[in-house]
Order: sequence, then C-alpha cells, then structure tokens
Amino acid sequence: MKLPSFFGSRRKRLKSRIVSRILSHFALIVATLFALFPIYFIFWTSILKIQLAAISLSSLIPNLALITLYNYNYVLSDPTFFTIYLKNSLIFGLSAAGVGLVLALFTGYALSRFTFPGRKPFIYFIIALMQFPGTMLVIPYFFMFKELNLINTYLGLIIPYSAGSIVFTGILVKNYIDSIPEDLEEAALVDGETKTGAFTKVIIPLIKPILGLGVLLAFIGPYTDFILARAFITGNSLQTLALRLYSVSSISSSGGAAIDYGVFSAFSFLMGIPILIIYLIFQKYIISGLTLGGVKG
Amino acid sequence: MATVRLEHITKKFGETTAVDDISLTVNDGEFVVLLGPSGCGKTTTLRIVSGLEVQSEGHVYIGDRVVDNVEPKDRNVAMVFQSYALYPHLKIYDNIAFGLKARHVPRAEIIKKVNETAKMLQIHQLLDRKPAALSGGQRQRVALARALVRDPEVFLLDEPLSNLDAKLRAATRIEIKNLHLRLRKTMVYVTHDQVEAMTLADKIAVINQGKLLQFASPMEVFMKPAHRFVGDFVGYPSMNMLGGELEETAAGTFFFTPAIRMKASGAQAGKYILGIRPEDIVVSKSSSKGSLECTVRGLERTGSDNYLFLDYSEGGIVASVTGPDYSAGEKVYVTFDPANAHFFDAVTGAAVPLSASI
Repeated sequence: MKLPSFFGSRRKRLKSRIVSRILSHFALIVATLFALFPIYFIFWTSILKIQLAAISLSSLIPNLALITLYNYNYVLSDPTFFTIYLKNSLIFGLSAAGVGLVLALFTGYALSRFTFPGRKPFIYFIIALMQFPGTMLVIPYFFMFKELNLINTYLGLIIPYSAGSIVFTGILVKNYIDSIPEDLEEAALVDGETKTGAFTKVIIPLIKPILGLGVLLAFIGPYTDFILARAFITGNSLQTLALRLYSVSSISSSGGAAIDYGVFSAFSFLMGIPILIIYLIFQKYIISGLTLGGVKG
Repeated sequence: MATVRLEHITKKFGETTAVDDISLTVNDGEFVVLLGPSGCGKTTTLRIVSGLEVQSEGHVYIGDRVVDNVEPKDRNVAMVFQSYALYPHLKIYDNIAFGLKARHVPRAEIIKKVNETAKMLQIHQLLDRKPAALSGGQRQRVALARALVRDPEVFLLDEPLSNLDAKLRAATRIEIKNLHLRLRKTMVYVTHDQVEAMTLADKIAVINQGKLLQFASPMEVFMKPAHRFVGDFVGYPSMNMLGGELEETAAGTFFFTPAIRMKASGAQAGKYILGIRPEDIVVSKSSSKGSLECTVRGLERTGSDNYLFLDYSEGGIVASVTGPDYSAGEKVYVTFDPANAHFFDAVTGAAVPLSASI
C-alpha cells in the first residue's frame, strides 16, 4: 500500500469516526432527556404552588416564585408515613430481597453447575414463567392464601414476593456463574477448600455484582407493588407506601374523585429515596464487577 | 514426597472412554510427562490423580495410601491449571496464601512462606496487585507459587506453558526444570508439546485415545518408539511411515515395499510398517545401489535445520538436510541405514523387533 493513500484512508476513517460519535452522542442525549423528563416533571410538580391542572408548557420552566415545600410538609407531617407505610414497605421489600436472593443464589448455582435429569427443560420452564404477568397470579394466590389464613399477614406477602424474585434473579445468577471458569472452584478444592468453602470464598465474591443487581430488583418489585398488596392487605396496620400513595393523593369532592398531583408527586419522590439508597449501597459491587479482569494470559 | 501409582485406571464419560486401563508408577521425586494430542485423556488422567475427577475403574495410590475416595483437599497435591485459575478477586498475596489459609496455617508462617516463595519466583513486587494487572508470564509464576508454597507431596501441572509466547515458554521451561532439580518433588506434567516432554521429563508417558502406549525415558521414547503412534508423534518432522510386507523367499526373508527391498528377520511374515526418521535419511544427488529415486517437492528452511519434502513412486518422504541447495522438481536419491529403521505391526501399531539389513 502506498503511504499517501494510507494516510488518506486514515483521515477518512477519522472523519467517519467523528461523525458516528456525534450521532451516537446525540442519540444518547435524547434518550437521557427522555428518561429524565418524568423525574424532573414529578419533582417540579412536587414543589409547585399551583396544581398540575393549571400547568401550561411555560410553567415547566423552573421559577423560584412558584416554589413551595407545602406538599412535602403535608406528607411528612403525618407520622404514619414512617411508622406504618415506610416501615411496612421496607419489611416487605427487604425480606423479599433477602429470602429471594438466598434462594436465587442456590437455584442459580445448581442450574449452572450441576447436571441432573431435566435440567434444560427446567431452565426453559423458568424462562417461560417469566413471560407471564404477575397480575395473573393474584386471584389463585388469594384463594390459596385465604385457605392458609395468610391474608393480611406479613408472611402472606413475603412468600409470593420472594417467589417472584427467585425466578428472575435465579436466571441472572445462573448466567453469571456460567461465565466463571470452573477451574477457579477446582483450584480452591485442590488448595484445600471444601465444596462449600469454594462456593463462599470464590464464587460468592465473584458474583457480587449480580447479587447487587439482584437485591435491587428483588427489592423494587415488592416495594412498589400495588396489585398484590391491594388484594392481600385488608387492615390498616399492614398498609404500604404504594397503597398510601393512592389514598393520600385522592381528593373527594362533590364532583367525584380527583387527584392532588402536588401531594402525589411529593409522595412519589420521597418513596424513591430508599431505592436510591439501596442502589448506592450496591453500586460499588457493580463497579467492582467491571474491574475483574480476564484470567487467561 | 511420594510415589503416585495408577492401577488399571479407566474413566468413562457416558459412552466415551476417556482413559482406557492406564497403569503407571511415578517414583518419588520423578518428573513424569503425560504426552499426547488434545483429547487423548492425559488431562483426565491428571485430574483423576488430583481427585477432581473420579475414575470409573481402578485405583489411585499416593504414597502407600489408596486415595480413591479421598477428596482433592485431602490428597496433599497441588495443581497448576492451564488457565492458571488465579482468583480474580484476590490480590496476588492472597492468591498464594489461599491454600495455607484453607489449611489453617498460623498467620506468621503464612506471611513468611508467601514471601519466600514469591522471592524465589521473583514476583514479590507484585503481591499487592490483582491478577488482572499481571502479564501472562507473571500470572504463570503466581500459579506456580500458589502450588509451591503449600509444599505438597505431588505437583500436578496441566499444560502450564501453553498460554505463553514461544520465548517465554522456553525460558519458563528451563525454570521449571531447575525448580524440579532443586526441590526433587514428584511432578506429573501434562502437555501436547513433545519438546516440553523431551526437555523436562525423567519419563514420558505417551497417551493416545485413552491408552498408554509407552512409558519410558525421553531418549528411549525417541530411539525406540513402542508404537507407531509414538514414532509419529515424537520428533519433528514426523517419522516417515512406509507400508510393506515381510515375505519369506528362497533367498531369505525380505521386507518389501514396492520401491524398497531389504533383508529382514525377527518376525512372522505379514504386513508391517517401516518407520524412518527424517534425520536418518541420507539424500544424495547421484544414484547408488539400492537408492530410491525421488523428486523434490519443496524445501522448508528453519535456519539450522532444513526439511526436504520429496515425492517418490509410492508417496512422500521428509528428509532432514543441511544444505539449502535443492530446487523443486530436481531428482535426488535417498538411502538410509536399515539399522535406523523402526518396524511396526500394520494392524496393531505395536513395535516389532524386526532387524533389517541391505
């Protein structure tokens, strides 16, 4: 190849790289705005003096004169926000995440490492299960749990919530363990570890990133669930944030029910904080997962 | 230190037999290489010694102990994996210390041993790093250190050099040899590289299709291959194999191929294969009595050795030559000393004690 044409093609390549970079940045920015807008909208509505109904496009522009903390004050001044709703949501979310994760860990490991009859069909069965909407289960669950006297109990919700997270997280864990060479476990076995030791000292540290993601997903589901909670919770003491979000922002007026979007937005925003905290706690595992390099030379 | 003894080891995976009735003894302090092509069962054999795989039949002894039902952790063996299998989440120090910690060695002793071993392998400046930050050669040393630090009875090495580049491989090969000479530990080493096998081993076990074909010193394996496969596999370029028949005639017993005829004795009449190494072939530009006329197909230059690819009436022959002055299409004449010829049974492939003369 002649030198000039080589440089020429390099310049051309550079140009096309810049163009593709501009295009991809543009697409990413649009996507980010698209994702961020609802959050901005909710936040702005939550601190807005006027009701959403009165909002015009221009009122989306930040304006100090329109800001109030009234909605937050309204939500937080009611102590039951913490003593009932937040407490219950955390109990459901954390216990479902905990129980679901431990079971998903064993499920995922078994599906990845053990060979047993019917393993493949079982995996497909689990994947097929994920395609069905959870709503489908509400009624059968209700009748089943009513027989077991589990309606309106913590256990009655923790069981279906945990079960729900095993399926998805189990597959996540399985796929992640598939990518870890068996050599590592075998090296630990020859090095003097038991099978359990190899699992806890080699596999678990290596799958922390996926466990972090699993905890997050297994928490968000129950924490934000409305449908199952609505069906299973009849008394006041077990009410969750998601249920309260509905009741707190409904205004009864002579004309029928309406929604107070200011309160709704403030409540939603506060409800998101625990999710953010859990994300921040497990974020470092997700990052540490990225620094795990290849093993081969 | 210990001997390793395999007694009639067979390993089946479903319908396939990976290891087929292998028996061999690795003496105390010996360096034994299991050599064979990929998929021949050599790694499975090594894994059976380690306990990571359990044999379908037969017994494994380490020292005087039957270890058939002993877990890998209790066999007191150390293994170096082809992939190195360093724990990616642990620093080099903790990688090396892993086995000692698992065995509840006191902390002070762990620190001392890890540092000593790391110094010996010149990786002490890497102890704070993670495996991902190391080069292939460095990782290889860490894998060796992790095995050495435990001071096990037996070292098992599974193609430890195959992920290194050629230069580093040669250097590390010498280092492993020196380590063995210094430590005099029982080592079992798996490779498909015959150069590694020849240079490292006290004894080579040549394995093909799960069967142990020859278990002998490197020189014996090279000079007296016990099986056609061994002759073919060990040595580069491969031994030339010429099919022929041993026939008794009025004038005596002769080994014939259509192009070659030589006196031979020591076996019954039948089909045999004559094996002759490229370096035992004499190439001349002029014909002589009994020489075989060949046409030069090509010359492969490697620097010190040149390999001449020849065609004759029945097929191809490779000869090792010193001079580079051959050109394609040229006629040359080939002879060899019958004493250098190897004979194998055409059916079983086993070596036969035929001796030939002109």
